[in-house]
Amino acid sequence: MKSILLVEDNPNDIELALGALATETYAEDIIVAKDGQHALDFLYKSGPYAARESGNPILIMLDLKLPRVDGLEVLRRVKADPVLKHIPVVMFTGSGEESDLHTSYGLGVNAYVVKPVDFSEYAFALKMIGRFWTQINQAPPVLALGGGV
Amino acid sequence: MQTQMKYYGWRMAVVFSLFLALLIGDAYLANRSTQGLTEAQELIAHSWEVRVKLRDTQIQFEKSISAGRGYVLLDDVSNIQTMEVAQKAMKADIDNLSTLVKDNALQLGNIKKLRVIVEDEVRVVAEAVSRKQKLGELWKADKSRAFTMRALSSKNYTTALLACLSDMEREESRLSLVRHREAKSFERQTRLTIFGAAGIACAALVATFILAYLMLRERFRGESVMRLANTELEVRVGDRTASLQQANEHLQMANNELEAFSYTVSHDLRAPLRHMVGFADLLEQKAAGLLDESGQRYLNLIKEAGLRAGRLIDDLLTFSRMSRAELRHSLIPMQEIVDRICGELNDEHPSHKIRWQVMPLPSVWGDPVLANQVWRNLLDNAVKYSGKQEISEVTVGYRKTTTELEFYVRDNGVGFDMSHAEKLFGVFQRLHETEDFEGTGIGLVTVRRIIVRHGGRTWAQSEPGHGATFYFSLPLTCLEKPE
Repeated sequence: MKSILLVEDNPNDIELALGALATETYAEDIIVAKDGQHALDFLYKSGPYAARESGNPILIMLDLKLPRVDGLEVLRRVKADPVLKHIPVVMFTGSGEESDLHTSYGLGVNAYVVKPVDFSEYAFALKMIGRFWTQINQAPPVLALGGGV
Repeated sequence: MQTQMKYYGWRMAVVFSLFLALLIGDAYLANRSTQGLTEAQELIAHSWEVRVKLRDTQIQFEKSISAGRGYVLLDDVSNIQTMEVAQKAMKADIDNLSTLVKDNALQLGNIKKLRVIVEDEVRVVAEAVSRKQKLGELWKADKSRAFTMRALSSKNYTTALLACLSDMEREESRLSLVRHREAKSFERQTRLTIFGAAGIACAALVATFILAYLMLRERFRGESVMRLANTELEVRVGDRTASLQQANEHLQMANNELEAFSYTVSHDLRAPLRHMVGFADLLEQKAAGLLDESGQRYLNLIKEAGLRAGRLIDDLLTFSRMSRAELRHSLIPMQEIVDRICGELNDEHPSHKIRWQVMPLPSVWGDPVLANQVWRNLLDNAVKYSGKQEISEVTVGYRKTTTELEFYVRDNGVGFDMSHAEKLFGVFQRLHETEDFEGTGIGLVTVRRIIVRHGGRTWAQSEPGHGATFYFSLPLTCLEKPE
C-alpha cells in the first residue's frame, strides 16, 4: 500500500495537512507520527508499530521541532540507513532559519519547504510536494542498478 | 609639583643673591685693604727715602764745613771748590727733602730751621773766604780769622744741624711706625678677606649641595608618588576593563537571549496565525453557500488579518536574520541590480506606467544579497508611494563627495512631512494608512540596518505632495577590495 508518513506534533497542523491532502489520490494512506520516536518506531516496525504490515512509505514529510526525537535526528537516522535512505524526505517546517536549512541539506534532505501562512499557498505546497516526490521524480539510478552503496 | 618648583626657585634665588652680595662685598674689602697695604708700604719706603736724604744732607754739610776750615787754615784754594760743590749738593738735598715732606707741616718747619742753619754756615764761610782774599797776608792776623775758625770749629753748626736732623728723623720714625701699624692692619684685613672669600665659597658649595639634595629627594618622592598613582590607575583601569568585559558579556548574553526570544516568538506566533488562516479557509470551503454576505465578509476579514500579521512576522524574521547574518563581501554591480529590480517592478505593476531614469552606477564592495534588499526596498517604496500618480517617475543616481558615495532614489509620489523624517527609519513606523499603501513598516529600518552595517548613513528629504528622495551613503573605502 502506498503511504505517506507525516511527522507532525501540532494537532492543528495535522488537521490542516490532512485537509489539504484530502483531495489528493497519489497515496492510499497517510500515517501520522506525533513525534520523532513514533516515526522511527514506524519505520523500524518497533514499539506500537511492531505488528504493522511490512513496506516503507513512499514519502516522509518531517517537521523540524518535535518532542523526544527532533526532525533533524530522524532525518539523520533515515539517511544513514542503507535501505531507508532511498525514501524521499521533505522538511515541512515553520523555521526559515538559514542554519536549519543548511543542516538539513547537509544531512541529505530531498526538499526544504517553509510552511506558508496563507492556507491556499500551504495546501498548494503540500500537494505539489506529494505529486513531485511520488509521481514526477524518478528513483535515482543506483536503485535501478540493484542496491544501495 | 609646580608649587614646589616655584618654592625652590624662590629659595635658590634668595640664597644665591645673598652669596653673590657677600662675595662682591668681600672683593671690595679685599681690594681696599690691598690698596691700603700698598699705600702704607709706599709711605714706609718714602720715610726711608727721607732718612737717606737727611743723611746725605748731613754728609754734604760736614763736607762743606771741613772744606771751609781747610781753606781758612791751610790756604788751599782747592778747598773752595770742594766746599762749593758740597754746598750745592746740600742745597739740592734740602730742596729734595722739602719736596718729599711737602704734606707734613712739622717737617716743613724743621726744613725751614735747617735752611737757616745751613745758610748761616754758608754765609760765614763765604765772608771768611772774601775777607781772606781781600786781606791776603794780613788775613793771618785778622781777628775775623780767629772768629771764623771759632765759628767753624766749634760744634755750633754741627750740633744745631744734628739736632734739627734728628728731630726730622724722629718724626719720620714715628710716621714709619704708624705706617707699619697701618700696613699690619691692612695685611690682617687682606688675610681676613681671603679667608672670608674662601668661607663664602665653601658655604655656597654646601648650600648648593643641600639644595640639590633637597630637590632630588623631593623629585624622587614625587616620582614614587607618581609611580604609586600610576599603579593605582592601572588597577583602576584593570577593574574598569574587567567590569566592561563583564558588561559586554552580559550584553552579549542579553542579545543572544533576545535573539532566541524573538526567533521563538516569531515561530510560535507564526504557527497559530497559520492555523487561524488555514481553518478560516477550510471553514469557507465547508460553509460555501451557507454563509450570508456579512458572514462571508467576517471570514475574509479574519483571513486578511491573519495574513497581515503573518507578513509582519515574516518581515521581522527577515530583519532579525539580516541583522545577525555575517556580511559576505564581494563586488556588487549596483547598476545590474537596479536594472533587474526595475524590470521586476514593471512586471509586478503591469497596469501602472513607471518612467525610470537610472544614471550609470558604480560597482562597490559589500554584501550583494543585502544590497539587493536595500535597492528592492527603496525602489519598491518609490513605486508604491507614487502609485497614485498617472505616471510614476523614479530617478536613481549617485554622487561622490570627499568621504562618501551618496546614492539616491527620487519619486514623484505623495512625499511626507519633514518633521517625521527620522520616524521613517524606525521599526513599524508608518506615515500613511495601511489602506492607502500596503506594507509592514519594516522596509526602511532594514535599509538603515544594512547601510549602517556597511559603515554608511541613510536619510530622506521630501515635501508633502511633491515626492520624496531617499539617500544612502557608503564610505569611499567601499570602492576598494577589503583585506
